[in-house]
Amino acid sequence: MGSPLNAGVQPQEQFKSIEQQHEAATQGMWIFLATEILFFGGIFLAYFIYRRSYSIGFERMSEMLDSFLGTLNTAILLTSSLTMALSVRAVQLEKKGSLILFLVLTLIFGVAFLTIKGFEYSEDFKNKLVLGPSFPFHGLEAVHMEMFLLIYYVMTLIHAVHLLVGICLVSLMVVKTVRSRCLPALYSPIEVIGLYWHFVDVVWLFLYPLLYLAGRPHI
Amino acid sequence: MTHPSGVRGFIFIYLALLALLALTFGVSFFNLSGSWGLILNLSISFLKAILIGLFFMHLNRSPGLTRVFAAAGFCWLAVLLSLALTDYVSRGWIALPGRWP
Repeated sequence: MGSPLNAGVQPQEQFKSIEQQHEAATQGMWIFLATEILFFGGIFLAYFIYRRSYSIGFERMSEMLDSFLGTLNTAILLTSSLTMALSVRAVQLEKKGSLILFLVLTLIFGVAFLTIKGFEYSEDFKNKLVLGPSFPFHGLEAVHMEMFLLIYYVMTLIHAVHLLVGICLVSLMVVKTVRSRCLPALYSPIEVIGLYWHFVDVVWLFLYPLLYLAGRPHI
Repeated sequence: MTHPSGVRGFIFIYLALLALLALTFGVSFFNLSGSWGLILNLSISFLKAILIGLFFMHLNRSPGLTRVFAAAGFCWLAVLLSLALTDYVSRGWIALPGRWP
Protein backbone atom coordinates (compact mmCIF):
# COMPACT_ATOMS: atom_id res chain seq x y z
CA MET A 1 0.00 0.00 0.00
CA GLY A 2 1.68 3.13 -1.15
CA SER A 3 0.76 6.25 0.72
CA PRO A 4 2.06 9.79 0.47
CA LEU A 5 2.00 9.94 4.25
CA ASN A 6 4.69 7.38 4.99
CA ALA A 7 7.48 9.28 3.31
CA GLY A 8 10.26 9.75 5.82
CA VAL A 9 8.61 7.81 8.65
CA GLN A 10 10.04 4.43 9.57
CA PRO A 11 7.87 1.92 11.44
CA GLN A 12 9.08 0.59 14.77
CA GLU A 13 10.92 -2.67 14.33
CA GLN A 14 8.07 -5.00 15.32
CA PHE A 15 5.90 -3.70 12.46
CA LYS A 16 6.15 -4.55 8.78
CA SER A 17 4.96 -1.17 7.58
CA ILE A 18 3.81 2.19 8.85
CA GLU A 19 0.22 1.25 7.88
CA GLN A 20 0.37 -1.84 10.06
CA GLN A 21 1.75 0.20 12.94
CA HIS A 22 -1.05 2.73 12.55
CA GLU A 23 -3.68 -0.04 12.49
CA ALA A 24 -2.22 -1.56 15.65
CA ALA A 25 -2.33 1.84 17.37
CA THR A 26 -6.00 2.49 16.52
CA GLN A 27 -7.01 -1.05 17.46
CA GLY A 28 -5.20 -0.69 20.78
CA MET A 29 -7.14 2.51 21.42
CA TRP A 30 -10.41 0.77 20.60
CA ILE A 31 -9.58 -1.98 23.12
CA PHE A 32 -9.00 0.70 25.74
CA LEU A 33 -12.28 2.38 24.74
CA ALA A 34 -14.09 -0.97 25.14
CA THR A 35 -12.93 -1.07 28.78
CA GLU A 36 -14.08 2.54 29.14
CA ILE A 37 -17.51 1.68 27.69
CA LEU A 38 -17.91 -1.00 30.36
CA PHE A 39 -16.56 1.31 33.07
CA PHE A 40 -19.18 3.97 32.27
CA GLY A 41 -21.69 1.19 31.53
CA GLY A 42 -21.72 0.13 35.17
CA ILE A 43 -22.77 3.63 36.25
CA PHE A 44 -25.38 3.83 33.49
CA LEU A 45 -26.74 0.49 34.70
CA ALA A 46 -27.02 1.88 38.24
CA TYR A 47 -28.87 4.87 36.80
CA PHE A 48 -31.39 2.72 34.91
CA ILE A 49 -32.05 0.43 37.89
CA TYR A 50 -32.63 3.32 40.29
CA ARG A 51 -34.62 5.36 37.82
CA ARG A 52 -37.09 2.46 37.48
CA SER A 53 -37.72 2.36 41.23
CA TYR A 54 -37.21 6.02 42.16
CA SER A 55 -38.72 7.64 39.07
CA ILE A 56 -40.57 10.48 40.83
CA GLY A 57 -37.56 11.53 42.92
CA PHE A 58 -35.33 11.31 39.83
CA GLU A 59 -37.68 13.49 37.78
CA ARG A 60 -38.03 16.10 40.52
CA MET A 61 -34.26 16.35 41.00
CA SER A 62 -33.55 16.41 37.27
CA GLU A 63 -35.92 19.37 36.87
CA MET A 64 -33.74 21.36 39.26
CA LEU A 65 -30.65 21.04 37.07
CA ASP A 66 -30.03 23.75 34.51
CA SER A 67 -31.06 22.06 31.26
CA PHE A 68 -30.10 25.14 29.25
CA LEU A 69 -26.47 24.94 30.39
CA GLY A 70 -26.54 21.20 29.75
CA THR A 71 -27.72 21.76 26.18
CA LEU A 72 -25.15 24.50 25.62
CA ASN A 73 -22.40 22.21 26.87
CA THR A 74 -23.56 19.44 24.55
CA ALA A 75 -23.35 21.82 21.59
CA ILE A 76 -19.85 22.89 22.69
CA LEU A 77 -18.65 19.29 22.90
CA LEU A 78 -20.12 18.49 19.48
CA THR A 79 -18.25 21.49 18.08
CA SER A 80 -15.02 20.32 19.71
CA SER A 81 -15.53 16.94 18.04
CA LEU A 82 -15.78 18.68 14.67
CA THR A 83 -12.54 20.60 15.23
CA MET A 84 -10.85 17.38 16.44
CA ALA A 85 -11.94 15.57 13.26
CA LEU A 86 -10.60 18.52 11.24
CA SER A 87 -7.29 18.29 13.16
CA VAL A 88 -6.92 14.67 12.08
CA ARG A 89 -7.68 15.73 8.52
CA ALA A 90 -5.07 18.51 8.73
CA VAL A 91 -2.34 16.12 9.90
CA GLN A 92 -3.27 13.72 7.08
CA LEU A 93 -2.82 16.55 4.62
CA GLU A 94 0.35 17.71 6.43
CA LYS A 95 -0.96 21.25 6.89
CA LYS A 96 0.87 22.47 9.96
CA GLY A 97 -0.90 25.82 10.29
CA SER A 98 -4.43 24.47 10.18
CA LEU A 99 -3.42 21.54 12.41
CA ILE A 100 -2.30 23.95 15.14
CA LEU A 101 -5.42 26.08 14.62
CA PHE A 102 -7.86 23.16 14.93
CA LEU A 103 -6.02 21.61 17.91
CA VAL A 104 -6.10 24.95 19.74
CA LEU A 105 -9.82 25.39 18.89
CA THR A 106 -10.46 21.91 20.28
CA LEU A 107 -8.63 22.93 23.45
CA ILE A 108 -10.67 26.13 23.75
CA PHE A 109 -13.98 24.25 23.42
CA GLY A 110 -12.82 21.64 25.94
CA VAL A 111 -11.87 24.31 28.47
CA ALA A 112 -15.14 26.18 27.78
CA PHE A 113 -17.07 23.01 28.59
CA LEU A 114 -15.25 22.55 31.90
CA THR A 115 -15.69 26.24 32.78
CA ILE A 116 -19.45 26.07 32.23
CA LYS A 117 -19.61 22.81 34.17
CA GLY A 118 -17.70 24.40 37.04
CA PHE A 119 -20.08 27.38 37.02
CA GLU A 120 -22.97 24.93 37.07
CA TYR A 121 -21.50 23.10 40.08
CA SER A 122 -21.19 26.39 41.96
CA GLU A 123 -24.86 27.15 41.17
CA ASP A 124 -25.80 23.68 42.42
CA PHE A 125 -23.92 24.38 45.65
CA LYS A 126 -25.68 27.73 46.04
CA ASN A 127 -29.04 26.00 45.56
CA LYS A 128 -27.98 23.44 48.18
CA LEU A 129 -28.22 20.59 45.70
CA VAL A 130 -25.51 18.83 47.66
CA LEU A 131 -25.59 15.53 49.50
CA GLY A 132 -25.37 15.95 53.24
CA PRO A 133 -27.07 17.65 56.19
CA SER A 134 -27.84 20.86 54.25
CA PHE A 135 -29.95 18.97 51.68
CA PRO A 136 -33.21 20.96 51.71
CA PHE A 137 -35.66 18.07 51.19
CA HIS A 138 -36.85 15.47 53.65
CA GLY A 139 -38.69 12.17 53.59
CA LEU A 140 -38.54 9.08 51.44
CA GLU A 141 -38.60 11.00 48.16
CA ALA A 142 -35.62 13.05 49.36
CA VAL A 143 -33.64 9.81 49.64
CA HIS A 144 -34.52 9.07 46.03
CA MET A 145 -33.55 12.59 44.99
CA GLU A 146 -30.23 12.20 46.77
CA MET A 147 -29.59 9.00 44.84
CA PHE A 148 -30.09 10.94 41.58
CA LEU A 149 -27.73 13.68 42.81
CA LEU A 150 -25.11 11.09 43.76
CA ILE A 151 -25.26 9.53 40.29
CA TYR A 152 -25.21 13.03 38.74
CA TYR A 153 -22.05 14.03 40.59
CA VAL A 154 -20.26 10.73 40.06
CA MET A 155 -21.07 10.62 36.32
CA THR A 156 -20.30 14.27 35.54
CA LEU A 157 -17.13 14.35 37.65
CA ILE A 158 -15.74 11.18 36.07
CA HIS A 159 -16.63 12.61 32.68
CA ALA A 160 -14.89 15.89 33.56
CA VAL A 161 -11.75 14.01 34.61
CA HIS A 162 -11.76 12.21 31.25
CA LEU A 163 -12.12 15.52 29.44
CA LEU A 164 -9.27 16.97 31.49
CA VAL A 165 -7.06 14.07 30.40
CA GLY A 166 -8.11 14.78 26.79
CA ILE A 167 -7.21 18.46 27.21
CA CYS A 168 -3.74 17.52 28.53
CA LEU A 169 -3.18 15.15 25.59
CA VAL A 170 -4.30 17.73 23.01
CA SER A 171 -2.05 20.37 24.65
CA LEU A 172 0.86 17.95 24.34
CA MET A 173 0.03 17.51 20.65
CA VAL A 174 0.00 21.29 20.13
CA VAL A 175 3.53 21.50 21.59
CA LYS A 176 4.70 18.53 19.52
CA THR A 177 3.18 19.99 16.34
CA VAL A 178 4.84 23.35 16.86
CA ARG A 179 8.22 21.63 17.34
CA SER A 180 7.69 19.00 14.66
CA ARG A 181 9.76 18.81 11.51
CA CYS A 182 8.04 15.67 10.30
CA LEU A 183 4.24 15.90 10.58
CA PRO A 184 3.47 12.34 9.35
CA ALA A 185 5.10 11.06 12.56
CA LEU A 186 2.28 12.75 14.48
CA TYR A 187 -0.52 11.15 12.44
CA SER A 188 -0.99 8.08 14.65
CA PRO A 189 -0.88 9.94 18.00
CA ILE A 190 -3.35 12.58 16.83
CA GLU A 191 -5.71 10.02 15.31
CA VAL A 192 -5.65 7.96 18.53
CA ILE A 193 -6.17 11.00 20.77
CA GLY A 194 -9.01 11.99 18.42
CA LEU A 195 -10.68 8.62 19.02
CA TYR A 196 -10.45 9.20 22.78
CA TRP A 197 -11.83 12.74 22.46
CA HIS A 198 -14.82 11.60 20.38
CA PHE A 199 -15.49 8.82 22.88
CA VAL A 200 -15.65 11.30 25.78
CA ASP A 201 -18.07 13.34 23.65
CA VAL A 202 -20.26 10.27 23.02
CA VAL A 203 -20.43 9.53 26.76
CA TRP A 204 -21.74 13.05 27.32
CA LEU A 205 -24.35 12.58 24.57
CA PHE A 206 -25.89 9.87 26.75
CA LEU A 207 -25.40 11.67 30.06
CA TYR A 208 -27.14 14.78 28.75
CA PRO A 209 -30.69 13.42 28.23
CA LEU A 210 -30.50 11.07 31.21
CA LEU A 211 -29.45 13.76 33.67
CA TYR A 212 -30.88 17.01 32.32
CA LEU A 213 -34.03 15.95 30.47
CA ALA A 214 -35.34 13.22 32.79
CA GLY A 215 -37.67 15.61 34.60
CA ARG A 216 -39.04 17.52 31.69
CA PRO A 217 -41.56 18.72 30.63
CA HIS A 218 -42.55 21.35 33.16
CA ILE A 219 -45.71 22.25 31.26
CA MET B 1 -3.81 5.63 6.16
CA THR B 2 -6.76 6.34 3.97
CA HIS B 3 -7.37 9.39 1.89
CA PRO B 4 -8.79 12.14 4.13
CA SER B 5 -12.49 12.97 3.95
CA GLY B 6 -13.64 16.35 2.71
CA VAL B 7 -14.37 19.31 4.96
CA ARG B 8 -17.92 19.61 3.63
CA GLY B 9 -18.72 16.07 4.75
CA PHE B 10 -17.55 16.83 8.28
CA ILE B 11 -19.55 20.05 8.44
CA PHE B 12 -22.65 18.27 7.14
CA ILE B 13 -22.31 15.63 9.90
CA TYR B 14 -21.76 18.41 12.46
CA LEU B 15 -24.94 20.21 11.35
CA ALA B 16 -26.85 16.91 11.51
CA LEU B 17 -25.58 16.41 15.08
CA LEU B 18 -26.69 19.93 16.07
CA ALA B 19 -30.10 19.33 14.48
CA LEU B 20 -30.49 16.11 16.48
CA LEU B 21 -29.50 17.99 19.65
CA ALA B 22 -32.13 20.65 18.90
CA LEU B 23 -34.65 17.84 18.33
CA THR B 24 -33.84 16.25 21.72
CA PHE B 25 -34.15 19.55 23.54
CA GLY B 26 -37.27 20.54 21.60
CA VAL B 27 -39.04 17.24 22.25
CA SER B 28 -38.37 17.63 25.97
CA PHE B 29 -40.88 20.50 26.05
CA PHE B 30 -43.71 18.16 25.05
CA ASN B 31 -45.42 15.80 27.38
CA LEU B 32 -44.74 12.32 26.08
CA SER B 33 -46.57 9.59 27.91
CA GLY B 34 -44.74 7.07 30.04
CA SER B 35 -41.24 6.01 28.99
CA TRP B 36 -41.53 7.30 25.42
CA GLY B 37 -39.52 10.42 26.20
CA LEU B 38 -36.67 8.29 27.56
CA ILE B 39 -36.82 5.89 24.61
CA LEU B 40 -36.82 8.75 22.11
CA ASN B 41 -33.95 10.55 23.88
CA LEU B 42 -31.81 7.42 24.00
CA SER B 43 -32.56 6.64 20.34
CA ILE B 44 -31.46 10.14 19.32
CA SER B 45 -28.29 9.73 21.43
CA PHE B 46 -27.58 6.42 19.69
CA LEU B 47 -28.05 8.05 16.30
CA LYS B 48 -25.60 10.81 17.28
CA ALA B 49 -23.11 8.23 18.57
CA ILE B 50 -23.36 6.27 15.31
CA LEU B 51 -22.74 9.43 13.24
CA ILE B 52 -19.69 10.30 15.36
CA GLY B 53 -18.39 6.73 15.26
CA LEU B 54 -18.78 6.33 11.50
CA PHE B 55 -17.54 9.70 10.32
CA PHE B 56 -15.53 11.45 13.05
CA MET B 57 -13.92 8.22 14.29
CA HIS B 58 -13.50 6.97 10.70
CA LEU B 59 -15.20 3.62 11.23
CA ASN B 60 -16.77 3.99 7.77
CA ARG B 61 -13.31 3.55 6.23
CA SER B 62 -11.53 1.49 8.89
CA PRO B 63 -10.27 -2.06 8.31
CA GLY B 64 -12.73 -4.79 9.31
CA LEU B 65 -10.73 -5.82 12.36
CA THR B 66 -10.82 -2.29 13.78
CA ARG B 67 -14.63 -2.30 13.38
CA VAL B 68 -14.83 -5.60 15.23
CA PHE B 69 -12.78 -4.09 18.07
CA ALA B 70 -15.09 -1.07 18.15
CA ALA B 71 -18.21 -3.24 18.16
CA ALA B 72 -16.85 -5.50 20.93
CA GLY B 73 -17.21 -2.87 23.65
CA PHE B 74 -20.83 -2.20 22.73
CA CYS B 75 -21.62 -5.94 22.56
CA TRP B 76 -20.36 -6.45 26.11
CA LEU B 77 -22.26 -3.35 27.22
CA ALA B 78 -25.44 -4.81 25.70
CA VAL B 79 -24.82 -8.06 27.64
CA LEU B 80 -24.24 -6.12 30.87
CA LEU B 81 -27.34 -3.95 30.53
CA SER B 82 -29.75 -6.56 29.16
CA LEU B 83 -28.92 -9.36 31.61
CA ALA B 84 -28.88 -7.07 34.64
CA LEU B 85 -32.09 -5.27 33.68
CA THR B 86 -33.85 -8.55 32.85
CA ASP B 87 -33.32 -9.45 36.49
CA TYR B 88 -34.61 -6.17 37.91
CA VAL B 89 -37.56 -5.86 35.51
CA SER B 90 -38.78 -9.40 36.06
CA ARG B 91 -38.49 -9.41 39.85
CA GLY B 92 -41.93 -7.91 40.32
CA TRP B 93 -43.62 -10.61 38.23
CA ILE B 94 -43.67 -13.14 41.05
CA ALA B 95 -44.94 -12.00 44.42
CA LEU B 96 -42.32 -12.97 46.95
CA PRO B 97 -41.99 -11.48 50.41
CA GLY B 98 -38.96 -9.31 50.99
CA ARG B 99 -38.03 -8.67 47.38
CA TRP B 100 -36.26 -5.41 46.48
CA PRO B 101 -37.70 -2.84 46.35
